[in-house]
Amino acid sequence: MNAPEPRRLLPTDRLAYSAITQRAPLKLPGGARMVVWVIVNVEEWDATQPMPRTVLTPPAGGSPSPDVPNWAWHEYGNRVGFWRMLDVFDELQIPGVLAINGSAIAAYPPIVDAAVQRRWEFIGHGFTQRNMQKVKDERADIRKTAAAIAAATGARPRGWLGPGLTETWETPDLLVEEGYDYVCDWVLDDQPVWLKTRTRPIVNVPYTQECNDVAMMLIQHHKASEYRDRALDQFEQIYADARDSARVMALVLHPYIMGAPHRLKYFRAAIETIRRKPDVLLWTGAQILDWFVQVSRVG
Amino acid sequence: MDILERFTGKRPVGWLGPGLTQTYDTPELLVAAGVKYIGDWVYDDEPTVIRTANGPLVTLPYTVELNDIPMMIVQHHESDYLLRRAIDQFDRLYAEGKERAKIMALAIHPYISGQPHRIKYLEAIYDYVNRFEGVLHWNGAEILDWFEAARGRLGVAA
Repeated sequence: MNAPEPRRLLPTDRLAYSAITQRAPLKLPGGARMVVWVIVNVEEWDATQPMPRTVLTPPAGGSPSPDVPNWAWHEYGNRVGFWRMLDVFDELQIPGVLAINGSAIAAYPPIVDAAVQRRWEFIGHGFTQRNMQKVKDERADIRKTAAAIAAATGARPRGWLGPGLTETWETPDLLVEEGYDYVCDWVLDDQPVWLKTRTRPIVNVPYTQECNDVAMMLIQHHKASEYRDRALDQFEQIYADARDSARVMALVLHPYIMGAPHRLKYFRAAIETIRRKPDVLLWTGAQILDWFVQVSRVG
Repeated sequence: MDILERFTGKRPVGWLGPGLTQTYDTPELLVAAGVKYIGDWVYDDEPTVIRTANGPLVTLPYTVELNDIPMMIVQHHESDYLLRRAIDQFDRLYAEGKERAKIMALAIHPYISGQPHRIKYLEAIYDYVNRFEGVLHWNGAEILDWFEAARGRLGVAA
């Protein structure tokens, strides 16, 4: 049987432009002003493939294979960095969200166990760490990732973050059809929004490229302290902006970046300060989703 | 290895690939040539042992984080950031070393850290680190000897 030609939805077909100041106010429980959620990305880098990112280029350039130094540099995050990061979550009682490659579940069982024990939320992050446009069968990848998370945690993931936030034209459609409730790839707002799909709509929860250690440290080459400074600047402004209507702030971490010995303390300093504000909620993505679905009306 | 042995009178025990590059065969070839440890696997703060077809090979914690090539040439940090990052790295590893020994590497190149405007930050790293008790300044062969002896004491097969 031939499937009908999929209808291609442009980003502007999925949601209409909307000025944040012209929407009905969003209210959080208990008079809270804003939500902060912290996402830890755990990936498996295939040693036989070009590395997704590099810290070091080979002498005279090129793209070596194998690329042991850059593979090892990332692997450090899962061997060492994640565990040092976990202390901050434990000491400050931060609810974690683990965005994990489906394949990483079998590769790093102690990380999965640590996250399950702490009731962290697991969200799909591609089965492998590659551009979703280069995945042969996107639906199978999305499905396989959900199955791997369900097998490890006992619950299907409700959220999805594309590897490097990559999507095809169909990604939101496929996510809804495969049972996901929210996506994080659309960094276009400080409030959750509804995205149309070819079936029912899906929520986008505000994620960030701004307070994200990959963008900040690997692409923009900032000093480690900039993670703290930017996070607190972002936090102060969103807190002020949220006076009349709730907003959401994301903080993004990768164990191989912020888990380096010289960087971790800057994440700790940022989240310690945020934690002290009484009218700020630290939530998972699923908590943000459930609240938003309850308070919003589908447009 | 032969050239270094002829010059120093002693066969080297360590290896670092140019730009840390390797092929799939590098670990085997290194062991066959008499190499005991390699710096290319920057995946831990402690030595580890990897399998090769020619016997085990030790990895020592080298670094691409505290390394003047990625920091100055790739990431374009200002010269004084080497000092800041080194202090932050040291403070954390020193604290963690209370429970279990940790190794910190510092990778420098004469054409980068030897520049007139950079050298004082390297000197200042040592001024800082030398204020702390319980820090050893070892070369790779010394770390290797300690690691092998410690594994022997723990009864870990080579």
